[in-house]
Amino acid sequence: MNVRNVVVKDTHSSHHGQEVDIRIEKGIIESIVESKIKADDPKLITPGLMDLSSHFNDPGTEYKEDLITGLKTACEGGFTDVCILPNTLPTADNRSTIEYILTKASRQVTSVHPLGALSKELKGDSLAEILDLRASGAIAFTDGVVPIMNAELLSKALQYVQKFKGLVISRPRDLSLSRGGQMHEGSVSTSLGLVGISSLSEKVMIERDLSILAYTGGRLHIHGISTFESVALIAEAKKSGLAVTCDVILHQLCYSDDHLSSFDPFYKVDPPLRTDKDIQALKNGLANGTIDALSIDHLPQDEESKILEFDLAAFGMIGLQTAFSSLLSLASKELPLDMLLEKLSNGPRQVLKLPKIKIEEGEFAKLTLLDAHLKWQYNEESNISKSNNSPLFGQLLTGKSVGVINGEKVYFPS
Amino acid sequence: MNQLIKNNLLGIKELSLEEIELIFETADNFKDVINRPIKKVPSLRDVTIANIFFENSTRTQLSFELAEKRLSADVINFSSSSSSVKKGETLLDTVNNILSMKVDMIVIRHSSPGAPHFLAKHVNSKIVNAGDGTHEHPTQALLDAYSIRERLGSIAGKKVVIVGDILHSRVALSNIFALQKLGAEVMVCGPATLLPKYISALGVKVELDIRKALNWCDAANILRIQLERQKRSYFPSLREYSLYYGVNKEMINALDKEIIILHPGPINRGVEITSSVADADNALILDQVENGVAIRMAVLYLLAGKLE
Repeated sequence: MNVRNVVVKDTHSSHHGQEVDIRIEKGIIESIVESKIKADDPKLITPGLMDLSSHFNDPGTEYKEDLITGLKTACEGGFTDVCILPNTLPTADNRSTIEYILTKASRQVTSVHPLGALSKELKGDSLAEILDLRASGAIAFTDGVVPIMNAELLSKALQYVQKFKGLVISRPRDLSLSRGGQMHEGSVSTSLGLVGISSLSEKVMIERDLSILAYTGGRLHIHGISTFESVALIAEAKKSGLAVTCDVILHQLCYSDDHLSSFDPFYKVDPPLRTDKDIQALKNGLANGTIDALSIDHLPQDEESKILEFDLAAFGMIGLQTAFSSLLSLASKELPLDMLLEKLSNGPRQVLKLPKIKIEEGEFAKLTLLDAHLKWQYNEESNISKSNNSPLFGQLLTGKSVGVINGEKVYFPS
Repeated sequence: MNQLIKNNLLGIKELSLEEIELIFETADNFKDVINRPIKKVPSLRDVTIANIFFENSTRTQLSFELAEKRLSADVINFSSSSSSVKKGETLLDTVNNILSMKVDMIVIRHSSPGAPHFLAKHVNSKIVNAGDGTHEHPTQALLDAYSIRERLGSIAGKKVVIVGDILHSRVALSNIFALQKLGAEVMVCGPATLLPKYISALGVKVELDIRKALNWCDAANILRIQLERQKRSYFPSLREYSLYYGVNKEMINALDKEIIILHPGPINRGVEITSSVADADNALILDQVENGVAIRMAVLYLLAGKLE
């Protein structure tokens, strides 16, 4: 297969920035040569995009999304790999659920990496069968959207996974400090009369997690940090040598809590949208390496769960299909597109200790083709997900994935 | 200005100063009406209004109903103490069902902040917010401000303290917005556990000592303390609350000036306010109730004027 006239977006590649023709045979990059005839509007090629935490509701609530529609959505968005949360029904706390996921997803272009449950039924009481989950294909361990409130459980998990240098993922929110919370606690929540989710509830949890990590050793990933305090805490922990990584959810950088002032439930997410000050700190954290990766946190909700009174509406936003368009809207001098792409491709792979994807001859071809100028309408017709809970739904977007190469599996949208 | 800009009354936040003044002027006329031997006008004769209350309310519902009847509107009432979702019907379905019976306006009370805003977005009707959770209670704030204006002559430059459970109060929030738009200085006072952490971002002063607060103000709006709040350690006991935050005669007498007292009701006598304070001449509590009908008539009349 030949891919012609693509500009390499891979800062670790010797071809970075060049317009090249790539030849791929049997899933391996055979040759990369500079294009003799330049294109007017060359596409971009980047190491395959990867998400650390998406929710495909399968098994359990397949009417919102299922593995097939979820993976097709990811593929349309340019993702070669997606990690999925264990918050299914039944939960991914047993071998058969993991095997079900891997079997069902096996024919899709985009690869799925199930995250195994940390605790049985995600109840936060006792450890799930982590070794068996790993043997069946779970890539890391987390209770997903449910914070690990039980400190003993977290410390045991961090110790237990050391046998295979495993990764524990924590979602930092102290539930006792954010009971009934609907949005970021601040001036906007005050004027809306909505119960807040304080920055404190995230800070307290991260401080606890880091203290436990310092005691137990092991590897911990903090998923979805959202406040300036969290960025500072993680920067300090990394400086002190702790094996901690973290990510920020892409939509967290795109919107602030001001977007909630008309009670629009499409902006109701957990962690909540924070303030401009937090967004700036998160951007700085990405730029200086404190934050290792971007994540999407694709969380589909049907109308019956979203078109409700604000405090009854479910949390969550979808974003796999629109990820590149959002990256483009964020790209700036302080946040170069190259860096953003890296944080959504090799960033997550480094967190998970997966091999880095390089655009070089002889390397495995896990690649995403992107068109930074393509304008497309994100609507009922183009949306691949079963749900449409995105504030971008109905809008004209700029930038789209135009192809995914995942070894011998390829997808080019018509 | 002779009509409201918006088609709904969702909150004070959305109102301009001119709109508030228009509502007050209109209420002045209706206050005359309700003090006449024939207390009724035919203004809303062909208008049907549904009062939909998903939370218990006595005086607000009565006040709206009376206002509607004094304007000759046809009135239907729907009350449900639990939210409609628990019964398996969504709020939108409930309201759309009622609207199918050719109802023109909806007065809604609901425990969810933003429920009237949600309705305004999804149904085709005029919506009046009669209290949405801990968010706003615009007609209460209008009648409070109207009552202060009536007694003190004007609101601009006056100092008003709101005392009690600010954290769970829609009355407090709407009062803050209304009084600030009308040019008053606003302070909130209560135990720090019952004040939203970021309340000063709304431009209000914060005071934890009730005596200092009373000394500062021209008018004090004493909120009802909800008995169930002590369960989640907002304060240790009602006894302690009333000892340290209850307003009593001795406190009022110790002031070197006269202040007026408001209370949105219903009163817990002996808890947040003693009888001697609640029943004194400078307490506007019953004026507030009377003005409530006039204010609600004004709001309904002005919104009905926008019906096609």
